[in-house]
Amino acid sequence: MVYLSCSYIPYEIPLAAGMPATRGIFEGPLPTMEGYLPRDFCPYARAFIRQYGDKDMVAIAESCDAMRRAYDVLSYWNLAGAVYFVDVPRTYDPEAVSFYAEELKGFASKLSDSGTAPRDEFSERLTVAINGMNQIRKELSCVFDLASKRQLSAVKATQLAINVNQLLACFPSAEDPLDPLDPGPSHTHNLAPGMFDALIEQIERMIGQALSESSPFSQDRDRISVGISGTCLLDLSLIECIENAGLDVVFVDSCIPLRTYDFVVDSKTTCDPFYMLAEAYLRKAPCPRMFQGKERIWRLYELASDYGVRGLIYFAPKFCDQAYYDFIEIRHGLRSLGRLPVLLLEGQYGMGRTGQVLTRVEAFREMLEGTQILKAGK
Amino acid sequence: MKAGSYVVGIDVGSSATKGVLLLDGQLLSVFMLPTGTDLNATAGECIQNLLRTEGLTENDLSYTVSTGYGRAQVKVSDRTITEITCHGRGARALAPRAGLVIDIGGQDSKVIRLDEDGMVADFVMNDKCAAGTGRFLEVMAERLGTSLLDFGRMWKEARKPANISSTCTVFAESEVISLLSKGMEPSAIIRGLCDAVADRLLGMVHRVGVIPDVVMTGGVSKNRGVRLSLEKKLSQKVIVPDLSQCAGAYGAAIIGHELVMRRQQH
Amino acid sequence: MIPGGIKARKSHYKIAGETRRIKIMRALSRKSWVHGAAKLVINHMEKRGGKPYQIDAIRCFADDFRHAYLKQKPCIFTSAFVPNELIYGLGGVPFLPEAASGFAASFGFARESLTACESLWYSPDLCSFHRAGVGASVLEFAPKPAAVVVSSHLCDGGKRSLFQISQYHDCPFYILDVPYTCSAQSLDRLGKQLEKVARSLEQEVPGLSGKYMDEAFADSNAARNYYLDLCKLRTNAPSPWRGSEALNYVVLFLWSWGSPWLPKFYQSLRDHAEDVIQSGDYPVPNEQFRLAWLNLRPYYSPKLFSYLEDTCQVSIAFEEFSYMYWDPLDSGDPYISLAKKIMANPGWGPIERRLEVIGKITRGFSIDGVVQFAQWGCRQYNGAASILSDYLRKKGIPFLNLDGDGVDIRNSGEAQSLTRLGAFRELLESRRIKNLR
Repeated sequence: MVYLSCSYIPYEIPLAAGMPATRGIFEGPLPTMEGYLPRDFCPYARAFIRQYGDKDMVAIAESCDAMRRAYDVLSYWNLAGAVYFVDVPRTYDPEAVSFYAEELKGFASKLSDSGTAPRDEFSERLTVAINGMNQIRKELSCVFDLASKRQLSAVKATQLAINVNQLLACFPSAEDPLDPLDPGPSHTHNLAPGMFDALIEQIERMIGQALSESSPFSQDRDRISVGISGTCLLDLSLIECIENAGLDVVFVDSCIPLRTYDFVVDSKTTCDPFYMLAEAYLRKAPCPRMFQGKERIWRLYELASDYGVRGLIYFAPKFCDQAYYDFIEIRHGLRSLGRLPVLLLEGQYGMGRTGQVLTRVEAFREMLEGTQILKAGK
Repeated sequence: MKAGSYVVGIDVGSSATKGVLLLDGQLLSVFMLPTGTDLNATAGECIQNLLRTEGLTENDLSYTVSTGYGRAQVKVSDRTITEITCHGRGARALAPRAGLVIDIGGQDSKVIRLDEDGMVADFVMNDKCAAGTGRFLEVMAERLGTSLLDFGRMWKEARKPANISSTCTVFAESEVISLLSKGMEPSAIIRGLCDAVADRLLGMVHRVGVIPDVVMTGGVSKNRGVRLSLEKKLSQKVIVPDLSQCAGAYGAAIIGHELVMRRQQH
Repeated sequence: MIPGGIKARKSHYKIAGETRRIKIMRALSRKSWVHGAAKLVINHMEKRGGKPYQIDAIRCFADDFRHAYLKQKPCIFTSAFVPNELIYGLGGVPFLPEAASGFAASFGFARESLTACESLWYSPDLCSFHRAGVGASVLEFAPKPAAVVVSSHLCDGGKRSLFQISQYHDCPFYILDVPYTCSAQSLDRLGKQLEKVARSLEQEVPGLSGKYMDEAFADSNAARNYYLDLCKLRTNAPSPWRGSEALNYVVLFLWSWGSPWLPKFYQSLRDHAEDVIQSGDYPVPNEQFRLAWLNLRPYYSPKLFSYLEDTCQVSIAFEEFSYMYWDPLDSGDPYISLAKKIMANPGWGPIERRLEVIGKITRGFSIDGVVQFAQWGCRQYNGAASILSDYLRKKGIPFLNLDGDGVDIRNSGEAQSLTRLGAFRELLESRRIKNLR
């Protein structure tokens, strides 16, 4: 299994190498591994510290100081079969794209050493993987559209994205569909023709099922819409908390789900597929780690305007420096552009289940509907 | 018993539970007791005391709004509203020109900016431990062998504040011990402690913006030392209304009264 | 250059911390007579027998500050690990807000800067060196930057905080996106970026020109030679230079490479160390133990170090941040040369690079114990504590991870720090007794 630490590392490469891959999404730091990184470290980085299997590879991106230290810890203490550092540029320009394409080739070469796929087939398989992932991304984009139209709760949309991540880890065949909530042992795959079709069929079934279940708020058109932004949404508890507090979440600008799936890789050109991968991944909706001027502010402003949100909830994992700085830029930028209120929430895994967070979210809702409480007596 | 609409606002805080009873929007009585382990029972006791004072029973109540960190535990509550909104409303009712509310409770602090209608325009809450809150001051008073009620007097007696850098209870406690061992006057230490709490609040206050009148609510509002330090740091008079400690409960009751009025109109 | 789009308006910032003394200091720092008076004071200090290297350092910083505050030269803000040969080589003066935070803390101005920063929603969990840097900038207590140049390596807070300073002052911002591993391709990429930044600075900032580049490289290399001499002298036991003072001069090490005055300063300092060794007048005369110090120090409190050096007779023999890690620069290929310097930083790349340097320091300076000052909010260095502890344990060298804060006194418990240092000294002593047995 290849565990990916960041939305900037393409799934396509391990898939093409014949290795199951999953974005590392954990339930929190393991108490037994607490001593490896200090407690005043981002919980996502701390959660990444665990004993992986001998055959597992962990691919850590150059996301931030904390993830670099996570890479050091994993490699120094030999906590995985292999630990690979993916050097993702922080800027998006032609030189950065060329550089990243070379970096991805190095990653592919490393994976080919351990993967099941023959090396000479890699290029062809990469194109298959890119096309397959494009289809999956399109399916998930539809899911986020449904959430933004309030036909599906954001909790369910995000859960779907997490389930798809798990499906990619297991890569079911048509004969052996896997339950995303209970995937069982992962296995290498041969990326046979039609395998993506089976996967996409399964995703479509999951979407259909999610839509068929009644939504608690879809009938109530008076509920206020908000968006969520941040570096990494640690788990679903925050979205659940926000929805339980009486707000509708219409977009979740976090590396899971939106920024991982809201783009396509151009596979029709004759260009080097690594270049196209690098180009698409660096051009996608930027993460706070990137230096792309005001692009994040404009993007959030557009999302907020398009979906008619009345407030933005910014989530910063506790001790995540990137999020702390990004929040200041976002808050200032959005206030300059249109005075959109922004609520900052900091926390750890499961923070949505705490009273302090619920109080803040409810107070934010009361603030947004303030006039309604006073004047409409709602 | 007078005819009319009786509304209770109840604020279940970490240290104290406060209740306010209104009759047709007018303040009738106030009651306060320490918060016990059973939040619902404490709230119930508070409400019973309010009712008993006026010779009422639960059946006479038109509406109950609960607030505070234990608001969801109050079973008789008709509506829960956060303490941020309630303190805002309560403070505006107690001080009609309130623009900024600083609420320091037992375990947290909040700064709330109000708009011209008295609605919450922005707010910020401290996110850490009990640093710089009521509990912090209690521990320090205990260490200095003095009462919180003496803080104001001692603040004025101090010629110069001691330099206390931290509002972390552990760090500040060792600073206090060190200052005492050097023979520093307790009054100077108390003024230093009040300054440290005010310094900590200053960043929060400026995040939301200073809009006069500045009103202080919550348990620590009764601490004159902290109020004096805040006034000095903000170069601004800080108003502490008589019922400042019960502002949250009062705000809850006012919102409850408005909801009853709406219901009757419809 | 990073594109903008949304103009920063100073009226959008509501800033706390603007005390009377800040207003006075801000006004004074921009008066030419104040800088003239500072010169006289420095001359007077020299006549009163101040140590030559100290006078040199003060005089040279005063010169740079005069150029920056009075706008005699373009002031370019840089993050801590940008090679400032680039800035001096273009005829500008660099200003490092992170390093200036140390100055602010030692002169007692940190609190206002931190309050200002917090009022702008900066989390107190961020590194205080960066927060105080932003605070000093928005209080306009620091000079006004003509441009900002940062490098992406080592420290997220440095580049992010400087980006925000550039927004506040509405000036050009440049980032050097440093590759993680050193290869011909990555050096080429970084070299091209450096060249592009230099060209753009020349165009965007009036008064900058690359004609001083050779001079800056020559000064940097000359200073490097004196510095290496000094490092050799510092291997002497007892230590010829107080480590607590050396930690103050780390600011120069981060700031001044490429300046015309650095060679003279390091020459004076080398001479001073030679004199101390010859005279035997050591700062910690009865030196019992020798420490290597990792990361920075608290800049507001001398008590920690007087306890360590005077009471415990423990020397800080060498500091991680004083380690000379780059080869001489080549003015024939300036941008690749600077790229190599950036990428040679042992804090960048896998942890093994940092461990290797720490190993060299412990061997070269006969180190008995290692202390890492665990600066609150510093993810770059603190995250390696478990690895350092294991690595040094295997080498038989005790390690102390000392929690604290270099600038924000609120995050430090002095009593707790003293206790831990005292206990560490006892540990070193008991090991020595055990070894003697």
